[in-house]
Amino acid sequence: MNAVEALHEDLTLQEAERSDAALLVDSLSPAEARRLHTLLEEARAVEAGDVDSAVDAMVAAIPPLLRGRVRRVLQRDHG
Amino acid sequence: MSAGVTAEIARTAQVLRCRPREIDFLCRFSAREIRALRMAIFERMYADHRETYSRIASASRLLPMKVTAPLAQRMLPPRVSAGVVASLPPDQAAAMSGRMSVDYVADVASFLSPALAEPVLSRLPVQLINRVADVLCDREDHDTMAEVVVALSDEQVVAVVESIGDAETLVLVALRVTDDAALDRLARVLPEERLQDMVGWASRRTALWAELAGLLGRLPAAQRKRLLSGVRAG
Repeated sequence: MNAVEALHEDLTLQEAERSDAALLVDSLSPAEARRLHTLLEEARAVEAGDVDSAVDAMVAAIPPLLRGRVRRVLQRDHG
Repeated sequence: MSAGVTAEIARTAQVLRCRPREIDFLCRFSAREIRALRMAIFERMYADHRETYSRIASASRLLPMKVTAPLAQRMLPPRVSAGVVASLPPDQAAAMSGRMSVDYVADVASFLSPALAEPVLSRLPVQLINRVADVLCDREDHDTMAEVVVALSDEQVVAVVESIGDAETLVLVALRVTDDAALDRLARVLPEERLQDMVGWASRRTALWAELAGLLGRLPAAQRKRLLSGVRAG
């Protein structure tokens, strides 16, 4: 899969209302598309780390009496 | 490069956590096209963590708001908080915003897309909106102001514009509104006198003529004629 195709897939650009974005991606050079896709992947990875850290920090900061209930809710899909 | 294109590249860079110059190859596209790309990137990144944001929002309802609001402000980076805000019932998000510092609310606002911000911002009291606008004015963050204004109700827009005294700030914000429908709405709801002030101010600055022409060109013909006739009469 080339970078333009990867961007289409990651950004779900097949939807009609995103045609402006799809046309833009189609107009990128291969090098520009690769750069944009790399930046997107890096940003997603950093964001995932930030969200995980924020959840951990919130759990740690919650008063002990309430921590168990909050942790159960937060960790249904985390950690 | 137009103010709109510059603003959209800066906003896209903010979402991608990179420097604007790393994506300056986008400058050959229109602000509308870059905006569409930014929205697609934003939605992708929001969707990655939608479930976690919802869990944080659910957990926040287990605690009294007087505990949750300061805790969230202390523990959540504004970028993450923006995702949680979008997952909260709008009334709860608005109530929580009222218990946070204005600086933090302004920080969070800079990470919200108008579509996600609208249900929350439109519920905030005018006084808080004005204080957030003051912070953004002080920071000269016209990019965020242009996005926030788009998400406000008509009444809130009028109130914010009344609180911003100078035509220069209003013009710099208007030039960064990249959604044509939102620009049209602003031109319709803003008091005539303020609109004429803005166009008059910009028309006296030759460096802004091309920008002003581009801005007016994005408005429906009737709006454009009305504004220009007011300037000629003035």
